[in-house]
Amino acid sequence: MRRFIAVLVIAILMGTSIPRANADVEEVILQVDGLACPFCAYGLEKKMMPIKGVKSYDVDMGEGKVYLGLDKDAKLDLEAFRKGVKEAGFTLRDVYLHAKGTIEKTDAGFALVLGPGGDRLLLFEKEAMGKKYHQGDDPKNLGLGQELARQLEEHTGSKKEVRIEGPVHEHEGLPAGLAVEKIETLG
Amino acid sequence: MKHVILGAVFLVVLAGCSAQEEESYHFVRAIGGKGSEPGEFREPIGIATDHEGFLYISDAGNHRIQKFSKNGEFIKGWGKKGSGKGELNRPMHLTHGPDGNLYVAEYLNDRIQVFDSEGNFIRFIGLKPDGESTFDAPGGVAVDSKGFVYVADFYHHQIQKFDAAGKLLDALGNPGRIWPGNLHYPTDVEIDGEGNLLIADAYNNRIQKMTDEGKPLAKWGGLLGFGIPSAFKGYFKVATGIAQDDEGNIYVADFDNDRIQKLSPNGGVTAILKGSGNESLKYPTDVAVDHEGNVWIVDFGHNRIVLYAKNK
Repeated sequence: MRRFIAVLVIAILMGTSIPRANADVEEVILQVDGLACPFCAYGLEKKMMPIKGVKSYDVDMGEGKVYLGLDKDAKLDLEAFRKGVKEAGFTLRDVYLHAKGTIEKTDAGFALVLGPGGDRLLLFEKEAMGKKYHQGDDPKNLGLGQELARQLEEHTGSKKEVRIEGPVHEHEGLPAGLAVEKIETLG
Repeated sequence: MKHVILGAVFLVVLAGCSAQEEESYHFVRAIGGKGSEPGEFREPIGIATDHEGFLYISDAGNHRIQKFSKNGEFIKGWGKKGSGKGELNRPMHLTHGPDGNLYVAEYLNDRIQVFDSEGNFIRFIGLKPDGESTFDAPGGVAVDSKGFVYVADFYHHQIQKFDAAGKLLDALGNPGRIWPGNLHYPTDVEIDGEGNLLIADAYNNRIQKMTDEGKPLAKWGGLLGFGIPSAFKGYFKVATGIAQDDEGNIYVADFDNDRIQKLSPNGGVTAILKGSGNESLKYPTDVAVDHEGNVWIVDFGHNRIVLYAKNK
């Protein structure tokens, strides 16, 4: 029960349970297992293009990577991507985002705010991928190294936009977020 | 007992690899190259020839069809990305029907589009009156001498059969693995000289022969035609395209093995076309054989069409 409440509080603080971010997500890269031939690649295109907000599709069959461009005001619905990949007959390994916004410090940790009034993506250190979130852990300390924490702290409160690249990161018991692989100040 | 079983399996494998006189082919020329100009290709997929020897190539990345002479000279191209009449979205395998028209499987438009040999729109097949399609990613199409149209439906794992007027009659084969008649992501279909279907059962790594009513007749692809993927002779790794010559020999685009395998009418391998250096194949998706026995190959990985001829 305590865990449920903790998760609920964090979800409310983050304002979302699964990232349904807006078009500040500039590109979505899906790492897909089993993309072997053009019939597969075009088959996946067939399943992904009808998803609302997807405006472009490109694929690197050798690397098993699918590049999705989004409409300007599109919502990003990861569940729809997962469903599309599954319907096409493949396994979705990772979702990688290029997203921009401002940094905000919340009770749940640092978050990327996607545009004015936009959704928030909780930020993690990439090394935290695969670690488990345990009841009672302070999510602020979850896989956030000193150097990354310092960088994010610097951006907190400033109105400067940053672009962050990295894989979508889902800890059991926490809202999905972004594992920071690259951070760049814009403007 | 174990030894008896092992011995039996060994004999079956040997039978599958039975020595057959191997024929040899040589590289003649290549046409195309990566690009979007006339005569160039971006992800070519399918090839068909007509009675006069003209070549028709589906240029899937450019959403168009290109026509070439039998000497490989560019004649014309048609189509652009879209869903209207004459427009295309990922054209895949195509065939020249007995009515003289060209039938093109459109993967993302879920339809067969029929053109005359000059590229003029004739009609669609596979669309219901409400505009819904009976297909989910049609990869290949064939037309028999009576005008029946057969379509390899990738995501339904079946062959759909239409009458000459375009009315859906039946779905042949069942989704599944290993057993005769089961299909797993079929990508192409051809009609043999006896009116039976030859099917590129792509992700079962084999080809199957069925009657025009869907009764399984034979399957080839390694041990007992179970479709175990392998680079051994007679095995396939994703069999994406199929063709037959005037003598009943079968040619299979063995995509992930970068080769074409030629099979006798009874399924024995008689030649492997692979090339080397600049003449090598990379991810071939389709093959066609003209009336002179020349083998035209869609060399997908090199964005070109390659001609091989038999050594005298």
